[in-house]
Amino acid sequence: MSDLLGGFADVLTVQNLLYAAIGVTIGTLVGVLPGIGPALTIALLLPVALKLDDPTGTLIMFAGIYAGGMYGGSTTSILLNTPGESASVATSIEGYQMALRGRARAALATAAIGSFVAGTLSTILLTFVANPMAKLAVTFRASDYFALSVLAMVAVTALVGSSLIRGLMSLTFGLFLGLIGIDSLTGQARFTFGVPSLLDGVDIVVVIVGLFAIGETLYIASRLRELPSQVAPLSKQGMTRDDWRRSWKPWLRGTALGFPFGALPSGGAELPTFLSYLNEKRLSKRKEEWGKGAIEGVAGPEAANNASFSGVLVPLLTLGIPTSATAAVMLAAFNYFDLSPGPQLFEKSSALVWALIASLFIGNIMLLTLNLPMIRVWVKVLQIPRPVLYSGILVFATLGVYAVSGNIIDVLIAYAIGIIAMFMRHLEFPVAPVILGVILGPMMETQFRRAMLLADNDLSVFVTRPLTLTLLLLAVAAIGLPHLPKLFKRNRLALGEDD
Amino acid sequence: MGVRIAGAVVLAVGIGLFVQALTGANGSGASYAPLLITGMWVVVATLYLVKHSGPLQVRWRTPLLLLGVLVAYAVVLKYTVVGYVLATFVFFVVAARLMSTKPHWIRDLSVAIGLSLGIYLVFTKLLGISLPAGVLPI
Amino acid sequence: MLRRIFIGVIPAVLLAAAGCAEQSVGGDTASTGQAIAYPTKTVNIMAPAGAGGGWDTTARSLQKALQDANLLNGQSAEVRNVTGAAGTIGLAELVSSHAKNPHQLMVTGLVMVGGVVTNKTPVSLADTTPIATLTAESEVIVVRSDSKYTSLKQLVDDVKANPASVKWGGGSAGGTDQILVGLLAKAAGADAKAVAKQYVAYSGGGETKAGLLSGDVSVAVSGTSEFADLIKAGTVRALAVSSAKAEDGVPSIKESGYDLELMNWRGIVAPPGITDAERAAVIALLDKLHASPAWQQTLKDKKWQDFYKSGDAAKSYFDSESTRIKGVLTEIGLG
Repeated sequence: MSDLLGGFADVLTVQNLLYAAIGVTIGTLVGVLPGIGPALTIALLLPVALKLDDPTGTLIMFAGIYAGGMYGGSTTSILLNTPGESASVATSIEGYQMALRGRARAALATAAIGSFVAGTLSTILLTFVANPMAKLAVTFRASDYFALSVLAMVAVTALVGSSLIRGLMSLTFGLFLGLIGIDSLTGQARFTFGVPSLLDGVDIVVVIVGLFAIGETLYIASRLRELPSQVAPLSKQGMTRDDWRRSWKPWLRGTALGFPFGALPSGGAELPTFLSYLNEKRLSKRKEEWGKGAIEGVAGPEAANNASFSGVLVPLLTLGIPTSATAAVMLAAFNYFDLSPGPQLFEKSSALVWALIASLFIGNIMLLTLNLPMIRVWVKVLQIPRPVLYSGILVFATLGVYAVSGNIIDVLIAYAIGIIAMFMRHLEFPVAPVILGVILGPMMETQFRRAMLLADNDLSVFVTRPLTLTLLLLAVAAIGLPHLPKLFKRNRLALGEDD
Repeated sequence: MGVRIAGAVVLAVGIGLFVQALTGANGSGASYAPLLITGMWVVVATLYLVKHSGPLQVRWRTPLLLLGVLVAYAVVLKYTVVGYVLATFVFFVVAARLMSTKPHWIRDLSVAIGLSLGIYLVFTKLLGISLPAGVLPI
Repeated sequence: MLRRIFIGVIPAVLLAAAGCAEQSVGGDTASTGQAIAYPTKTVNIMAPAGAGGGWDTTARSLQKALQDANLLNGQSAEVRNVTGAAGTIGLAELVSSHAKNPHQLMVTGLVMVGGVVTNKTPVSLADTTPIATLTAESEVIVVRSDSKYTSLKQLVDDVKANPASVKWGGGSAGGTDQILVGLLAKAAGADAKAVAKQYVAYSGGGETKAGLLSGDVSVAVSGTSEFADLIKAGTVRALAVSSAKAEDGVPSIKESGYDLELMNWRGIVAPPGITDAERAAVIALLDKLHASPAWQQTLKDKKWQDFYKSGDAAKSYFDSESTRIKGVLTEIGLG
């Protein structure tokens, strides 16, 4: 505890607070742009930051960029239904519906406060349980990851929406997109159609930009005459008492999901956001509001998203295992400062570690203080005339794909997915399952085949490991449970009739 | 009727992909997932074709024109010397015009200048991501 | 911070401008043939991978060092990323769209040599104009500290007796890590194809680490820096490094009795079709860069091992690496 206070003493200078403010601002701005997330920004700013020769200041700024980037990503998801990265897709589902109904300010506020709550709580968790948590996380083996992905897949199939067939079709499309490219285990090319650019597969950013930014714009363009001239009604009211009451539990539950998932070396940041969305939907007493802007559906995923970052720091700081793009860049930054992550990091370079943890707190506070007042400005985006707004979205979408990859094929793929997404919207196919397919498909396949390879093709590996078996049984239960009450009811009814 | 046509297209694509998965299968571990997933595609698409029908009314003109402009924009960016600022400027003005019912030249032109120059300067000068400079002396 | 960026940038620009004035008067005499003025335009360095990765860092460090050392005749250098397929997308673009342009350079490396083979791309490094190799990193073979193996020989003996008894973990199929496993099996006289079948690909060094620690694989192969912290902490034990000599007390594969050396090197190539004089000028530029304090400082800051060969030495190194890598990848069924 005194270490942490020492960290705060190091961090709390005017100069460092300025770094934090700059970081949060830059982060929010790049987070708004599709395709250009915190990882890329930090990578590009690293050389500049090194010139400052101020490790604490640099780390604080990076923490600020990260927190800001996360928040910026949710801003566009909520206001325009154009998430820039996979972790904000879940937020966009209910968030955009809230914006359409003039509740953008409440949605942005619950996202900001939820990010703050989750960021703060998960940083506290990081402070106290990093080492035991990391020990637990690295016991996960390929078969466990496979079982975990099966469980996640079963859980999220609830996301397929009202029509099972349409939802499954979207999921299948996503699974197919995930297949494209070189198979990582054998080096074989699959569904690349002789196009060299497809060898690396279709990047998730390309899929998201196509499905959302481009797809949404083309869809709007096809319905221009039917739409009201305003993008969304003016949003005057922030969070009401009722909103607070409905938000605080999702914030906590989202944190509880996000942190452990982030800590798993192959867990991923997207899964907890979707799981939180589903969990909130399941627990909600107002099911009729879902799909029409339920605030829990914004509060939960946003909290999960932010909590997963502190989770990601667990294997990064204790074992030097980066589990996300941002973490990989942070690792590079640590190396420059001769701060080598590993089991002894907390003992050896402790001052800087505590400064980092303190800066995460500061970054979160700065995010909240800067962005809550900014919400008034953000919602003005919805006042921009539609042609200007959507032309701008197309410019940024193209930029996000082109500037990052320099590869025109990626841009054309994003456009192609965009036109498919326009039809999906017209035909009422849900788009979120596509993202799930792209994320979960390769995870399931790779971990299954890895597990088989490691067990010399002996299927029993999936039932002999207690953790694997437990997770698989949970998956079976998740399929069966929703039907269980029905079975009982039917039995009782049948009995009743007999009487 | 329109929904049926869409369903048939989806099914046809699925069958094509399934055939490709079959011909590409070589018994290695990499062959199973493609068969499984494209097979699932064919089954789900068949169900969709059978169960869903109805009209599909899409106003094609604007989205298709937009798509054409987008592709032209990308090609100009990559293969010509026009450069980022000029290409983006023209693209923005054309796209905004396509989506408006009546012209707003002053609005569109001024936003286009600000946006294209702003992005170019922030990316090349601040972030160090190079964008094609092109013919303009920037 | 923005202020600091500008404060940093403006003097650098002024210095570069001042430097050019001096240099262009003197002119350079390249070692071979007629000296020509170079560069006369902006030098474009292509990083054939995404921003933030190894090739990108190399390209950006090169850009910075070239400017800091005032070697560009007052011109500037730009970095452009072209991602995809182990750099072979960038390679194809270099060969097809930039032929005869000496102001377009590209970062390359061992990974691209492997990518050309596994992706069966129609162009290869032989289609470019080799300029220089810059840096290199050795690979390390590690086991968990509770493993029964304490030397590479014990491990290899087991592998020879029964290839299926040892599961190897490393980066993606056909990458540097698997190439090393294949080469080691060949050097030890084991069945390279059977050994390669026991190789489990992970998506990067971090995942490989997790795979080794969780007990999924018994041996991991990765870049030496990737495992440095865990080796230091005693969590894992390094059996051998792939460089010619021992590093940090870890014996090399060669010292362990197998005739094999593999460095994960990075270098620079120019497009095909540039004149001999242009080639000489680019090589001279890189020679000067290598000798400059700016580059030496970069190597120190980034903890990169100097691995400089230029001109014909680089060309013959590229050729021999290509032949060797193609051979081993074909043998393990990936070529």
